[in-house]
Amino acid sequence: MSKKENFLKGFIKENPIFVYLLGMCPALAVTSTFETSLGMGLLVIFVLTSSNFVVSLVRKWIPNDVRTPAYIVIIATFVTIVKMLTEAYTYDLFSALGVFIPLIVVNCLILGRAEAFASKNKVLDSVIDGVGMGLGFTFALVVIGVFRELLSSGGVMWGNYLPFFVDAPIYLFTLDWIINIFTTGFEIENYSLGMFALPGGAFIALGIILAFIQSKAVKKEEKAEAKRLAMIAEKKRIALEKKKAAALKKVGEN
Amino acid sequence: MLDKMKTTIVLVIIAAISGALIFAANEMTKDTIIENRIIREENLYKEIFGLESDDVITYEKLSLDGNLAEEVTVIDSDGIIIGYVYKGDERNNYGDIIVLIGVNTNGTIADVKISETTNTPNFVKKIKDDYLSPFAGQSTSNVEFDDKTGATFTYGSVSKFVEAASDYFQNRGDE
Repeated sequence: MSKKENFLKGFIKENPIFVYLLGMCPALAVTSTFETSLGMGLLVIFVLTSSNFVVSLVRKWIPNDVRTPAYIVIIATFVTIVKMLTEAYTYDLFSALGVFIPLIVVNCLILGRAEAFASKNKVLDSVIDGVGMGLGFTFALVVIGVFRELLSSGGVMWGNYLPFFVDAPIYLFTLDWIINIFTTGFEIENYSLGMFALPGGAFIALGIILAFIQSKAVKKEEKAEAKRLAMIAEKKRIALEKKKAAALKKVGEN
Repeated sequence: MLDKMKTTIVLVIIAAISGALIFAANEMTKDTIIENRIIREENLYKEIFGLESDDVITYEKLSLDGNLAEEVTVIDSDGIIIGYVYKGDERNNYGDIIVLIGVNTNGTIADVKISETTNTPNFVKKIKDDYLSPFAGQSTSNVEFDDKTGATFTYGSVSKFVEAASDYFQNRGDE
C-alpha cells in the first residue's frame, strides 16, 4: 500500500464510523453541534497520531503478552494530556465534551489502530495511518454534527465552544435566508426539530446517513455487477459468433 | 524468569515515561486552569447578583462545617457587602454536583446556580432551565420547593443546599 493510499483509506473506503462503526460512543454523544464534533475529532486526531507514533516506536520492545495494557497506558497518557490542555485553553469545549474526553481512552478506533496497524508497521506509516484515520473519524463526526445541528436549530454556528477567529458566536450558515427569498419574516428556529439535538436524534441521524451511504454503495455494486454480466454476455456472444463462423466455414469446405 | 523480569522492566519504563509526561503537562497547564477557575467563579458571583462582567468585586471565603462547604462574602469596589454565596458540594447517585446559592443582605435569595456537575446532562439542563429560577426573590425564612421534581437526585441536592443556606443565613443574622 502506497503512503497516499494509506493516508486516504480512512476517509471513505475504511472510514471508522461509516464503514466499521467504530467509536460510536462519541459519534452519538457529542455530535449535537458542528463545533463539538470538530473539537472531539481534533482531540482524537492528536491522541490517535501520538499513540500510533509511540506504539510503533516501541513495538519491538513490548512483550507480546502485555501489549494491550501497555497500549492502554500509552493512550491514557495522551488522553490525560489532552484533557489538561483542553481544560486550560478551551474550557467551553472541555465543558461541552465532559466525560467523553477521558472516554477517548476506551475508543475502539485508537486501540484498534494500535493493535492492527502501529504494532506491525514502521513509524512513518503508523503516523500517516493515525492522521488519515483521525481525519476520517473527524470527517464522519462533522457530517453527523452538521446534519444534526441543521435539523435541530436550522443553522450551523461557530464560536460557542471553539473560541478561535471570532469574538462572539456567529452563524456560519442558516436556512433562514434561502426561505426568506420566497417569503418574509420566516424564522427557521420556529420549525426546527429539537429532537435531533438529543441522544435519540443522534441514532436517527446516524441511521439516515448510514442508509444514504449504504444505498450509494449498493448502487455502485449493482452497476459493477451489471457491467460484469454485460461483459460475460459479450464474451458469450463473441464465442458464439466464432463457433458460427467456424461451422459455416466447415459447411463451405464440405 | 528472565522473560518476566523483562516484562516488568518494560512496563515500569512505560509507566515512568507516562508519569513524567503527565507531570510535565500538569506543570504547564495547572496555573492556567486555576486562573480560569477563579475567573469563572468570579463571573458566577457577578451573575448571581446581577452585576456587569466588568464590575470589580472582591470576596472573602469562610469554610463551613455541615452540609455547606463554604460561605463567600461578595464585596463591591466601595467595600460594601453585596451579598453572600453559599457553596454546597456532594456526590449523589448521578455523580458530583456543586451548587452556589446567592443571598442578598436583606435575606432574599438572589439566585441559585449549578456551577459544576457530572449528573445526567439532560436532567441537569431541565433543572437549570425550569427549576432554579423560582428560588430567586424568595425569602430565606420561607423557601418553597417543587415537590414533584424533588424526587430527582439533582434537584434533591439543590433543594438540600438551598435549605441549608437559608438556615445558615437565618442563624447568621441572629449572631
